[in-house]
Amino acid sequence: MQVSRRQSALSRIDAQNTSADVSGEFGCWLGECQSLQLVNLRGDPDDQLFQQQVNEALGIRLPIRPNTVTQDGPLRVCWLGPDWWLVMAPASDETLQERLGAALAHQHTSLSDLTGGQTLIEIGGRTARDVLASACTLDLHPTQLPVGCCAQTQLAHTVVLIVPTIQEPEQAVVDIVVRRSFAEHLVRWLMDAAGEDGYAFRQSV
Amino acid sequence: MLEIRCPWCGPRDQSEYSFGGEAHITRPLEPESLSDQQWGDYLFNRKNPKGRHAEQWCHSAGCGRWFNVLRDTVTYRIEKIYKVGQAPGTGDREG
Repeated sequence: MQVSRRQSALSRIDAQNTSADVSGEFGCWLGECQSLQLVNLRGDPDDQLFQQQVNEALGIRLPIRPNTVTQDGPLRVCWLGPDWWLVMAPASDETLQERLGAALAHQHTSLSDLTGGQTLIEIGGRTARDVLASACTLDLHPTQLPVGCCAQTQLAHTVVLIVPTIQEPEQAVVDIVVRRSFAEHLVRWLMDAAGEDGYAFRQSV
Repeated sequence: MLEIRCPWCGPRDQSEYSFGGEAHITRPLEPESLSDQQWGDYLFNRKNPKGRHAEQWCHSAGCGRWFNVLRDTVTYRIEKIYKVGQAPGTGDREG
């Protein structure tokens, strides 16, 4: 059996370290998702063959409209730029990159595995969007950034991709893809911002 | 702080962008035929107008694309935003 040597990007933060508000409740929770693979994809969206082959290899369409996400279960493709996408898939899909690589072998495209370089931080709960707003200049209101949209922007001075996944005000969840080496800085910033209404850590999955 | 509308991502704060200086500077096709004065002008000398200025911006914390902005250096008002390769001042009027 292959032993995973992957260490959490938040391993230096004590997950037992929580803070509750005056009534003993947590405004939001934080966690890291470690069971993902992140693949950077670049190509020409005006090339019908490129689009078609990516669609066939992934099973979902590439988002062409700026700041949007296409999703099929746990598989997501986020628009990052006019010729630039991020594929987020479960790590268990071991043939994903092979399928993409084979489909695009003879085209002018770029495919790179970012799994080791970036990580996904999740923040959820009643105050999740308020906590993020303290570190971000973008309007994060659900009417401006609803589920199905994504935004590459700066959060606590680091470049991140923000992907809202659950909209309900009480149970809102927002995914944040961040460079792994900045993850601890970002989470410490969010812990500080969330201190007022309380936060807790969720077990990494 | 300026709010600049990225042609792809929409309006974002200036902190997401990097400034790229004057726009519409083309590299001479035959540099070897230029005088030192002309080559120096191409490399170093830039306009510094009081008023409308065509300049390059890059959405470095977003989609990473370069585009052109026609901005007034006195009022900071952005008049036009247009893509690389388009003629100076084309596109819709901003705000």
